[in-house]
Amino acid sequence: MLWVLVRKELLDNLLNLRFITLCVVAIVLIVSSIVVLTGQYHEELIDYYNRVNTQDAFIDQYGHTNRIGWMSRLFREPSRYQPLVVGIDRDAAQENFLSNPIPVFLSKLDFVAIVSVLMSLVAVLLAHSAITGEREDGILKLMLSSSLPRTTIVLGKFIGGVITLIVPFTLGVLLGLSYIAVAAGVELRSLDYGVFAILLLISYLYMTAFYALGLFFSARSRTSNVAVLKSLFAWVVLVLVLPNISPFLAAQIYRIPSVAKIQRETNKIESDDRDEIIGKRLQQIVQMTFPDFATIRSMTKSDLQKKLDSDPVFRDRYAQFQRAFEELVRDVNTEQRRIADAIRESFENQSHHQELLATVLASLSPLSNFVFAATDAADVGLQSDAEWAAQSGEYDRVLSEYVNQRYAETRQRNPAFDFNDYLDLRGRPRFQFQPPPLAMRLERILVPAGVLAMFNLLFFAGAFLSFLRYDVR
Amino acid sequence: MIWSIAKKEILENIFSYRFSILTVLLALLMAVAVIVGYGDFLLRLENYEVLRPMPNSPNIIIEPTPMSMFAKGLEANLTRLYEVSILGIEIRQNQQSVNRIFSLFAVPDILFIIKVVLALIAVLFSFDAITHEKEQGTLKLTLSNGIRRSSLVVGKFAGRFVLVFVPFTVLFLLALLTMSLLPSVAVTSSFWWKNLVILLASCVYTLLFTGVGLFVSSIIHRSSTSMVVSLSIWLLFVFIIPNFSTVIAKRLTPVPTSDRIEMETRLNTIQAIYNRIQREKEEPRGMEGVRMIRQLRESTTRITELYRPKMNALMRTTKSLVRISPSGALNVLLTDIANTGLYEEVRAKDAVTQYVERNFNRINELEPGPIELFRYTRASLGEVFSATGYVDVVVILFFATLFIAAAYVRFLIYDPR
Repeated sequence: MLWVLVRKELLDNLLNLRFITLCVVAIVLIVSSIVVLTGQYHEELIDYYNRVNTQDAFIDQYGHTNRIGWMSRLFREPSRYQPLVVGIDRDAAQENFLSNPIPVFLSKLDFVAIVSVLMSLVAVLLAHSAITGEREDGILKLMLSSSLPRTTIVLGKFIGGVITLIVPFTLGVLLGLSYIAVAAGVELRSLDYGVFAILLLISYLYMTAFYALGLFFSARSRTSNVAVLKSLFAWVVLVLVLPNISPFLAAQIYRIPSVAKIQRETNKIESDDRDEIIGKRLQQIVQMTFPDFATIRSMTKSDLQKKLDSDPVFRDRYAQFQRAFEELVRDVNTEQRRIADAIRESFENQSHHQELLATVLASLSPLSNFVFAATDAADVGLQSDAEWAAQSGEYDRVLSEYVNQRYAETRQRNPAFDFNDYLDLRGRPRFQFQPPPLAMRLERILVPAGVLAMFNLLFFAGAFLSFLRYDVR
Repeated sequence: MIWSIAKKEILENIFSYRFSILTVLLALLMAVAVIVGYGDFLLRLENYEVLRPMPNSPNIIIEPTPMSMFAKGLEANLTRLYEVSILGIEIRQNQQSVNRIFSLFAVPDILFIIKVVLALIAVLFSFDAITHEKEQGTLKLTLSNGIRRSSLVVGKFAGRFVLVFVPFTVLFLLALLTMSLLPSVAVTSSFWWKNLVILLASCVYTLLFTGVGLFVSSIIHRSSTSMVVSLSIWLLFVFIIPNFSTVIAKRLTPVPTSDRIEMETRLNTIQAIYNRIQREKEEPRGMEGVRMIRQLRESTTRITELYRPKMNALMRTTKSLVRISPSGALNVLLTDIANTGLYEEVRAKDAVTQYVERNFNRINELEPGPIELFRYTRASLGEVFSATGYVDVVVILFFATLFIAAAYVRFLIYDPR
């Protein structure tokens, strides 16, 4: 019996002109946004390789020990899922005076935005008249008089509606994905199929939540007109209001100090204060241990080289002095970095707490949970930074070890060599980011996907219970 | 006759469920926008007080404007701290960039309410203006009573418009009054003028979306279909065209990524420092320091001259594409009026660039003399209008006239059976 009802729902909806219109609009939008964003992805990928090569060539040509961290900044490869999920737009951070302000001004229309705004509206509009419409037409009375249990009717409506929603949507997405795979020539790996499957599944969960919400309001209203208003009210609050106000509320509730002030403070500790301390301590060393070196500063490099070559005693003493100086610089650097790191860490803790509060507040809406899950599955979300920081930090450590070793070797051969001199680093290890495996991504989306499932349960239970005592007259 | 029809429309709807639920929604959102907007503005003001430069300091910071409570736009970026050094202009992080949730969702300011929610309410009030009467059979009766069709459609339009716009005006004025009475909001005459223009723009915008609903209602014969079609147009104007046009504009006018700009600046800097140190090893007491600063200055100027025109071209393309939709035009117009828009961004960056050009040598002690204090006044209403605002006004007026005229003409030949 249930399947007869499901089939009836399906046919009702699929033959309905407004539903067909909305589906066509959604499919066209999804496909065209994928096509346009794929083009952008290709461009960014080319730019990325170009940048990596430029920087590598620079290090090959100008590499020296002192500024190695500064010259080898690691770039993040554009996300492979960018045609679907733009995620946290890094241009929006506006780190540079010349940055492009448009991403702050208007957000992009990607798959996530289309599903979260358009498909949820379609779901609500499809569901709002599911019960009230049948009551108005008088069909509901007839159905119940033929001794159909109410449970079957409401389940049939839910399943039928969800299938009508999901099938055309899936077709549109598959069309877009096949464009990525075939026409755009992006080589797909098994991980990609996993991510696409996750994206589809959480989109289903999200859409069914809104379908259940529409069904709930339909079961709580006498007429379709009232049901649609209630549903739209809830839709506006859940989609347009709750997610948007959450970061602002969090910023009010959990205050953090001015980030510019912290940056200024740590900069001063790590550069101005450091230089001052080094200068003072160097003077002490020179005065106490190497009084005759005050003159070295004014010698040219070739004079120094000559003296080093001719005078083996001076050569030893010079090496000793250099070692003492380097030790001093290292110690002061470490100490200043420790102080600055402590300040930064406490600030990062605070901002992390604020972000967490904003996340929790936003999670009251299905939209935020969908966005969190989709961006984290595509590794462009809130949790993606941690993995990046771990891998790039590890590489930085390996690289600095390599540089130090090369520096020590070169120093051995030539005592006049210092950390501002060109160092051949062509044999250095290179960085390759390992994208997080599927299991890790699944673990990340567990909470938001779980909350989405809870919303489904909650709304459907509401619809179910309301329908059980619905007055069908 | 028109007025009695308008009166009937108003009386019929004012006690309806629809009127109460939508007005409650609007009031709720307005209250949220005022609270959130004021709190946000206060945080920026606090930050400004902390970072405000002392005399003879090369730091640059623009004072936050209370108009950001109406349209936040790019305000969070505009009011950052700019520091000038030999490396050029460095920007300190925006206070909101530490909380990444900000960049995931839209801003719930009054502009958002007008652009999205007010338009939705206008559509929801007008989509059944004609179809409902037709379904009830009253349309036939009314027309058989010798009422002219033109008076009927104008009366209906006026009635539905008043139902949406009057509650909005009351709420908007309440919000305005509340904001002007709040401490730390400096109220000037331009504050009132700008808000008057925002109110006028929202009036035309409401007329436009009432026209959309009425037009759809006059071409479609069933309320339920009419609703879906009107909502689709709403979606198209409010979300799809503006957000899609940013993507397309970027495809049409490619700009360098911020990563590229960062890399080029950084590598140039390292190279200049490296060259200086190497040369100083040969000749310790030369003018290498000065030479390095000059070289750095040259390379940053080169990058700026190369990339700023590209960024400006992208902004122009985006603006033109966004204006295909009246909601996009409203977005541009209101942010520009509130001095938080793209126009202000370009203007402020020009001012900063010029200031640095005038003071660069003194800031980096290449020449003696005091550093001038950075001063910046935001664009006046007249300037905004003559520069870009008039285009947006024309676009919104055009769409409003188009839909209202179409609804009018279509109703004259409507089949009421």
